[in-house]
Amino acid sequence: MNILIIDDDVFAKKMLGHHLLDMGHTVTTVSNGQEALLHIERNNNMEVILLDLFMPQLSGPSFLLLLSKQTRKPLPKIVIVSGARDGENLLKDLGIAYDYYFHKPIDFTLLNKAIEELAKTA
Amino acid sequence: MNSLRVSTKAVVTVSSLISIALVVFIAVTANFYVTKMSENNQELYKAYNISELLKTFKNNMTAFDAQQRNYFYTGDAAFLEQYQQKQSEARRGLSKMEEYFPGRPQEGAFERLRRLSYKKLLETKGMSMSSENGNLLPGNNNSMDEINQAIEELNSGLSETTQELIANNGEYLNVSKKWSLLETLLGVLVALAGVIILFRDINLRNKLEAELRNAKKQAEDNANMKEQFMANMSHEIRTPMNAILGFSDLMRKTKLSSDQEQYMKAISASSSNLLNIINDILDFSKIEAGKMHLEKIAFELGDVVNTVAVMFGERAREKKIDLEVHIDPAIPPRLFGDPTRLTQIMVNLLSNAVKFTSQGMVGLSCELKTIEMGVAQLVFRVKDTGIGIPNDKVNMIFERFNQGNSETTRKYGGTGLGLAIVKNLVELQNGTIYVKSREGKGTEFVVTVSYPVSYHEGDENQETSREIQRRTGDNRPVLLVEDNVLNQQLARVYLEGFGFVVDIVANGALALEMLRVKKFDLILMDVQMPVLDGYDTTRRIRSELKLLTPVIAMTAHVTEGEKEKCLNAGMNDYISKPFRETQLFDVIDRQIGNSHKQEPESKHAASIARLPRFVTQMLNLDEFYSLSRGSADFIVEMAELFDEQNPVDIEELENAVVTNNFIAIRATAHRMKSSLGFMGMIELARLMGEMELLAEKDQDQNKINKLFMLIKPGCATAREELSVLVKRLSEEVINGN
Repeated sequence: MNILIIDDDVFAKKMLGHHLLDMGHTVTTVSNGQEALLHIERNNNMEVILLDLFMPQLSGPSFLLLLSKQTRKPLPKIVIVSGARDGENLLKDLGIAYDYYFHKPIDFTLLNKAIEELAKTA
Repeated sequence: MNSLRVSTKAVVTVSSLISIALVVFIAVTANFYVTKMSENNQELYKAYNISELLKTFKNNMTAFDAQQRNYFYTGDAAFLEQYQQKQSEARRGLSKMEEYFPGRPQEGAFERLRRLSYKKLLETKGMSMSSENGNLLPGNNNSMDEINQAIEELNSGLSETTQELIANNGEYLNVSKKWSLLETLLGVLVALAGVIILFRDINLRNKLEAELRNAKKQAEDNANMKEQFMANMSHEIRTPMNAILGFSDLMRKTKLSSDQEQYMKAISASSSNLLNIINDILDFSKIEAGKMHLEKIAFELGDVVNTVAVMFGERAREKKIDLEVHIDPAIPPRLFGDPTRLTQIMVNLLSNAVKFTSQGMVGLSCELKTIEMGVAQLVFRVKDTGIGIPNDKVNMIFERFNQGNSETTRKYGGTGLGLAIVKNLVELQNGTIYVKSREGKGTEFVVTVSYPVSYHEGDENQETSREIQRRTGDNRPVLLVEDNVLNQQLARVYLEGFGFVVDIVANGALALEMLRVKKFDLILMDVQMPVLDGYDTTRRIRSELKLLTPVIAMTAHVTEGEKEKCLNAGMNDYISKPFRETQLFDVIDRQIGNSHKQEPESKHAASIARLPRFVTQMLNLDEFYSLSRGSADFIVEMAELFDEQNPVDIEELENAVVTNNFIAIRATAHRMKSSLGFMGMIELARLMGEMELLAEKDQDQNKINKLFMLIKPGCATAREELSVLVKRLSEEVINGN
C-alpha cells in the first residue's frame, strides 16, 4: 500500500517508516500538515495516511479539514497515531471522521492488523 | 625514608646558600680589582700625557730662551715675533699642566717650575715696548738652567709614577685573574655537587616509586587472587551443595521412618545454614571489593514479603512465637529495583529477630512514607521482643564480626557478618537503617529505601503460573547438558516432575551431535564442562546449527558479569546453582512463556536473538529491538539520531522549564514523550507524560522542576546506554557474528 506518514517527531517518523517498509509497503514521510498537502497535490495516490494530531505549521485536525475540501477523489484511509490523551474527543467535537485511532506508544501488531483491514476494504 | 629526605633537602639548601655567598663575594672582589685596574690605567694615561706636555713645554721654553737671546743681540723684529709665539705657547703648556699636579707627589717640583717659568716669561714682559731704549738686560742664563733642572726633576718623578703604575697594573691583573679562576672553579664544583645531589635524589625517588609500584601490584594481585579464590571456592562448594540440598529435598518426599525424617531435616537445615554462611562471606567480599552491583528490574513487593513470611513462618511456629506481617495497601504493587537484595535485607533482619527471641512476637511491616514523581519511599520495620541489645553496643552491631556481646556467638552462633551486609546493601540502595533497642525488651530495625514505581504490565500471577506447570512439560523434549552425575540425576528428577522428556549428555560436543539429529524445545546447559564449555556450545548452536531453541544456563559462578556473559553467548536465561525445584520451574516457565508471547515478531526473532544483551536502566532492549525489528543497521541509525536530537530537545525543555513557559513545556514534553516511546525508553516516556500533564493541569513550578531533575540525567543515561549498544554492535560486526 501507498502510505503517507505525517509526524513532526523524527523518531516516530523513522520508526513507523522502518516498520511499514519492512511490512512491504511504500512509505513517504513528511513533518507537518502543510508539507503533506503539498505532497498530496503532486502525488494523489496515497491509500493510507498515518497522522499525528499536534504538529507545528498545520496540525492534524486542520490538515484533515483542508484535505476533505481539496480532493474530489475518495479520501485516503486515515489512521491517527497520537500521544494526545483526549484526541478522540477533540476529533469528535470537530466532526472529523477517521478510520483508526492509535495511542502512542503504538502497538505495531495492532497497527499491522488495522492496515490489513484497510487493505481489504480498499 | 622521611628523615633521609629532610636531611638531603637541608644539605642542598645550606650548600647552595654557601655557594651563592661565595660566588657573590668572589665576583665582588674580582670586580673591585678590575675597577682598580681601570683607574690605574687612567692614571697611567694621565702621567704619559703630562710627560708629553712637559717635553713640549721644555722645547718651547728652550726656543723661547733662544729667541729672547737672538732678539736681544740682533734687535731683529722677526725674532721678536717668534719669541712672543713661544712665550704664549709655553704659557698655554704651563696652564694645561696646572690641573694635573695638585695633590700628587710632584706638586712641589711643579710649583717651583711654574714660579721659575713665570719669572722667566715675565722677565721679558714689555720687552717689545722698551726695545728701542735698549736698556733691557738679556736674560740670565741661570734662570733657564734652574727651569731645566725642575723639568728634569718632574720628568724623573713622572717616570717613577709611571713605573709604579705599570707594576700595579700587573699586580691587579694577576689578582683578578686568580679570583676569576677561583670563581670558575667554585662554580663548576657547585654545579657538580648539585648534579650529584639531584641524581641521588632521583635515584632515591625512582627506588621509592618502584617499591610503591611493587607494593601496589602485590596488593592488586592479592585482591585478584582473593577474588579468584572466592569464585573458585564458591564453585567448588556450591556444586556439591546443590546435590546435598536437592537429594535431601527428594529424599524427604520419599517414605521415611520418623527417625530418618528427623535426620533428613537436620541435614537439610544444616546444609541451608552452610549455604547461607557461604553466601554471606561471598557477599561481604563482593561488597568490600566494590563489586556488588544492584539489579534494576520490576518486582512485586507482595511476592518478596510473602516469600520471607513463608520462610520464617515455619521457624517462628517451631519456636512458638508469633510472626506478624503487615503491608501498607497504599504501596504500589509493582516497584523497580533489586528484589533479591531486598529479600536478603529482610531475611537477615528477620533471622536475627527470630534467633534472639524466645517468646512473644516478631513483626515485619512495610509502610509507604511518601510517593513523589513516581518514586515511592518505603519504611520497613522489623520488630521483636527478644533479648535486645545493650545500650553501649547499639552503635557497634553494624560493624563486621560484631555481635551484641561475645557470649552471643557462643550461645546463638552466626558469623557476625549479617548486619554489616544489611547496612551495606541498604546504603547501596541509597537507603538508611537504624536500630532502637532496649536490653531484655526487644529490638526494632527501621530501614528506609526508595524505589521507582513500575508501571509495566504485571506477569500472570502465581496461581496461573502453577497451572501452566502441568501444561509446560507436556512430554516435550528437553536436552540436559551437564557433566556432574549427581547434578544430572537431580535435574532429571525435577524436569521429569514437570512433565518433560529428558535427554542427558555430558558435554558440549555431545550436545551439538545430539542437536543435529533431534529437535528439542529447551536446552539446560551447564557452563563449566570438559571438552566444550557451555558458552562455546551455545555460540555454536546459534551460529552453526542456526537453532533458536531457548538455552538456560546453569552456573555455579556468582562472579560479577556472569549473567551478561551467558546472555552474550546467546543464552536466553540463567539459573545459579544450587537451585530449588521452584526456581528451575520459574526459569523454564519464563522461557516457554516468552517464546509464546513473541510469536508476532517471530519473523525477526532470529535476528533479535543475535543482538547483544546487557543490563540497562533507561533503555528497554526488548522493546527497542522489537521496534527496530532486529535490524542492527537501523538500531545504529536511530541511536545516532537520538544522540543528535535528544540534547537539543532537552535544552528546549530546560529553557521552557526555566522560563515557566507552560505552553512550551507541554508541547516539548508531548513531542519527547513520543520520541522516547519509539526509542523503547518506557520509563522516560512515562515521566515525560507526567511532565506534559503537569504543564497542562497543575502548572506547579516546583513539581515541574523536580521532574525535570529526574528526566535530564535519565536522558543522559539513556544516551550512554545507546552508545554502549552501538559499540557492542560494531564489535560484533568486527568479530563477524
